[in-house]
Amino acid sequence: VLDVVIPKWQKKRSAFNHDWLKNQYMPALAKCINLIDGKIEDREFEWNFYFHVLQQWEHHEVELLSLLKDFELEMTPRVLLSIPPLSRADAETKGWLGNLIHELWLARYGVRDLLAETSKHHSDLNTKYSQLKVAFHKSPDLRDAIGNSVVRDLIVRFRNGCLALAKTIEKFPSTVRVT
Amino acid sequence: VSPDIFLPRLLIIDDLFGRAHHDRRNEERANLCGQFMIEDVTGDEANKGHTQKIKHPLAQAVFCRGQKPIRSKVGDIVENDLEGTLTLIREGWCGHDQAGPGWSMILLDLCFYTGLVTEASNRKTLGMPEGRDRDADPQSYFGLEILRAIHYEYPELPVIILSSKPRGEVSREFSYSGALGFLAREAENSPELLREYIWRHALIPDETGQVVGYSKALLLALRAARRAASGHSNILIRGERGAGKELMARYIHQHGVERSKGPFVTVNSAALSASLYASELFGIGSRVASGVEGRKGLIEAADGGDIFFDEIGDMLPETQSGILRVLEHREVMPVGSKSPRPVDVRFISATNIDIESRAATESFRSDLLDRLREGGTIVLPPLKERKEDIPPLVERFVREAEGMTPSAQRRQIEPEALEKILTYGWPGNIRELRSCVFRAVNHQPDVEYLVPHHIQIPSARTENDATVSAGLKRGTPQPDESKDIEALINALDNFTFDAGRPDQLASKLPRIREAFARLLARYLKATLDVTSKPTPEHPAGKILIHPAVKLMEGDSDISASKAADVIKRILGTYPEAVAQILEDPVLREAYETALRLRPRQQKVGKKSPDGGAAV
Repeated sequence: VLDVVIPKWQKKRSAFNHDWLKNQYMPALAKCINLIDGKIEDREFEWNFYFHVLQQWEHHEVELLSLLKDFELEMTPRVLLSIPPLSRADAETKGWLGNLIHELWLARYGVRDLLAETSKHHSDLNTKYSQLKVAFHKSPDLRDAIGNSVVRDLIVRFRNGCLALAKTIEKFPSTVRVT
Repeated sequence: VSPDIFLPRLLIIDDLFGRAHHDRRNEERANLCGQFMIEDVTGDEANKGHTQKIKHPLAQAVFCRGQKPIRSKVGDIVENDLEGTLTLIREGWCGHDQAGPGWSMILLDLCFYTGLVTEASNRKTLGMPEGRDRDADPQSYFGLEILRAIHYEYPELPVIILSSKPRGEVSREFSYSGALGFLAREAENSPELLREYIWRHALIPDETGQVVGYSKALLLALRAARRAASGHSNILIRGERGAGKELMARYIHQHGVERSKGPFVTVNSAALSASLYASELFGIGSRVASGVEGRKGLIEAADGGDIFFDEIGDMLPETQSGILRVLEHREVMPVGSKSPRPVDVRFISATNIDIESRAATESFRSDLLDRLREGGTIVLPPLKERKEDIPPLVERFVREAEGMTPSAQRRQIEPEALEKILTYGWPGNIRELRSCVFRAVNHQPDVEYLVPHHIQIPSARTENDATVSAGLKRGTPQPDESKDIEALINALDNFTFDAGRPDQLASKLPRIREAFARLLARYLKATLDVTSKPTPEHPAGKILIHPAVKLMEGDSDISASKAADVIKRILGTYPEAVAQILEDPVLREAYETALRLRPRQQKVGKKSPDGGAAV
């Protein structure tokens, strides 16, 4: 096994999945569910939820798209051909060898399936997010949603979608690997 | 003791949730608290906007960044702070005993971002640095460094990893470093998971208030009991006499998920005679021909629940064999029956003796011992190892005793009285403390203060006091604590009367007989106190003459009727003093119990202790 850490993509994944989605966004959604259930009170959160919490999705979606776009390019073992000792190979060898190890990598790790799965979760999330925006259109104050089972159900489904997305992103390999 | 006072207190060490801001609250922290239903009691966010109210919090939490500075702005450099973090842990773990609950459990993050707080990193998350490469490397997580330090310094302090990083990255490492579990921040049912982790791992007092105290020694025993209670295997409780073994057995029963719905039956192993144990434990089968009506035994009565065998070490060999058969086959054979009955019973046993040594010398069956402790052994600490629990125990017993004494004044416990209680070693543990407090309240029902002279404890056994023990005059050489009774016996044995001084001999027989009778009565009373058991009807302790006589005689085989005879003989040692001796309610009750077991037999010319018929 040859492991090479690629900090750039890893950092981007960590920033999106760990720092924002799991550490900030999902706890806020879980708190929102408890608030609708009447278990907690937080006026500041009620005022801010729709505009300053929920809508963070729109800003961070860009990071997700970037992650998906860059993964194959940055994490393929083909990048090993650009660092010693393989960088010393001639151009022709680099050409066929690079294509070969890339194709083998795609097949071995099911990269295309993983990307497709993530895209599906992304699309599902966007659908649920749109439904939530409609639900909050009449009143963006979360206080008005307390006890509202329809809004609660939408938030739960949206949160579950976030969880599925987070778990899928976690499945992506964390190192450039040739086995 | 209000359970609210003892809401579990968590220490959450996390760079994101532990940081503070100068002018506003930490929103991420508030959201985490709202997610897990925990109340933030850190105290660093006063007057910073709206506060969050958790209606029924699972726990309180103190947040710690684990880094310096706690409040960071653009241009600051944030560095990990192991020493500062350990100082906070130490303060809440080692110094909390007198001030209330310390850390029940630590929730520890893995990845701590360090370095410069830049405009970009601050815009992304307020006060957070941009991070260095090694921060996010699982091999060098600062959280694991903290974990190893905690495990080294405070191995009993429960730590759970609270992280959004993949569990698999660190599962081997955190197991080796002493963490008890992993709580994912994104978990769907986070409050339920946290509640489960607190139940299983945190050091928390008995929420019902039945088992009083919050010393580490007790909380560790309670945690072991909760863990054992969740299974169906038999459990052994070890602890000194009077340490609360039956209460612990009830705690286990109440915390058994399914068993708590079933019955809880108690059995005094020492009271099971060779001739009656089978019918008592296994029941009697009905026999149509002879008209004998069947009766369930105690084991069958506990079907679906727990049966508690107290003083298992005193169980007769015949009974041991019978119990072993039940444990092996999970069925009982009632006396006179040919068909066994299946039973689903968990055995909780208790002993105050070194039962392993008994098993080694074959006076207790080792195969039975193995069966009885297959679900674990709970070691109950003696009171002298949990002195911080004495104040709440005294408070509890004073209130109970006041409640039991009509028109008793509600009293304050004076610090000097508590101090006197704390200097004593309490060899009889909680039962002895309870009796002492009940006596103090019963003898002084009309006062508003519990003061030192209300507390009657053997002064020779206090740690700071070498005054004479009762019955010996000042100035005589004092035996050491463990040999005082031996010294008394030696003094009696070796005392010689001076034949040359008739004045010392005249008229002394009545006084010697009376003194001897009183000595025996005090001895009896002490053994009755020690062997008494609190029951719902007798919270101050039910007088049990059989175990008391067994203790005095050192003979575990003595029968109940013989014990009654011994009581009557002791109290009848000097008939002229009996009426006064029986003014003591404990001795009066013991005497009446003995009379019920062995009714008086008329013998002409002799007086009984109560001045009526002869003994």
